Amino acid sequence: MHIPDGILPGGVCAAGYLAAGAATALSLAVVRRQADPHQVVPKASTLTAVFFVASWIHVPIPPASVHLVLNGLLGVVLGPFAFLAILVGLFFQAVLFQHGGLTTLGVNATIMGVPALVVGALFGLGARLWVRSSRWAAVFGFVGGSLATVLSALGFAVVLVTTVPAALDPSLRSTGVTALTIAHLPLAAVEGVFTAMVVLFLRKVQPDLLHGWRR
Amino acid sequence: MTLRGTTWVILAALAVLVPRVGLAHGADVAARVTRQVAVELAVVVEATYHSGRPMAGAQVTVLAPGAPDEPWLVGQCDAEGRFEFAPPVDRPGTWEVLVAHQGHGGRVSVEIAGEGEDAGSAVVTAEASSTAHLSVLQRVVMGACVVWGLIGTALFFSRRRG
Repeated sequence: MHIPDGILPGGVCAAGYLAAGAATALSLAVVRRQADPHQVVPKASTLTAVFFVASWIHVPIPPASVHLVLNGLLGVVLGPFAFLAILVGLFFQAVLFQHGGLTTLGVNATIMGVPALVVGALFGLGARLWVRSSRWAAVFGFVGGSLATVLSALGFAVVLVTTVPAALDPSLRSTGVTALTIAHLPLAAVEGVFTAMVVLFLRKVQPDLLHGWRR
Repeated sequence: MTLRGTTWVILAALAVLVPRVGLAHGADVAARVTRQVAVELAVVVEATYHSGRPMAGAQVTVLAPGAPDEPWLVGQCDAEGRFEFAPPVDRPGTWEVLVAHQGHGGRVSVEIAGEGEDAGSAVVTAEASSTAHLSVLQRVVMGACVVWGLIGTALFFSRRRG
């Protein structure tokens, strides 16, 4: 799901940076309104490390090979901090391992970070409105984890299909991108189950760690 | 668990985890010039994912010097991720080759000399991911440094105040 350098036209990269900048500003504004933003930093930092490492774990789903993204998990646990964590994680992945790229950092952060923000907001809302039973926690965790993956895969597909350079055969590229997007559906299930497990665990041992569950 | 204990557990987990998973998503695009005759030139582009899997069926765009907007040639890599083309020797300058497959890919540059003794000869001047050829150990150390930095940040902010 990481778009490397040299694939997208410059305008799209610039637009990606604009969108990522806006999302960063929004996240920071929300974070600043919290009573003690520093309290969340250890959690955010640790989950950035998890996100950074997660992309090394590959799930071969023919014809493609996809890797864990965990942006849903970050959204569920970090809320508004999720975008910042993903941005930092992507930066290190791009700089050290050429996974993604610096010109496409904005696009990638938008593709993966905005779904995390959406999921975080939904999860916080759900936690506030519904009874916090373990069944609902599992449901919200699963939906959060899988929804973020699906949204990211869709964003990835939309960016690639709509920005075909004139030279490339559009139908060939759509076929390839469609295959890769479909390959992300099983991954969405895996991420959903994983996120649900983490949510259930945290709910039991330290519910304060979940976004919006503070009493 | 003590702090030191936690550190060792994390390092041990990384050591177990990383060598087996490898990076499969980065892509390497390399080119080599196969025939260096003044009248004819052939460039073979080889595209593989970092995992070693060839980028079979990847779309290739060749851009001639001075014409970055209009492709000189478009094609597809074969099952081994290879693509061959023959740029005319009378068109010196930097040729760009772009390879893209399912949103992954890269670019290489091939410089064709125009004047002097080397006229008509070609060298590969830039490859897509020159820093990508790191050993597993190097990758593990780099990754561990980042992870440790992030955990250190977490520990710093979670210290007791006062």
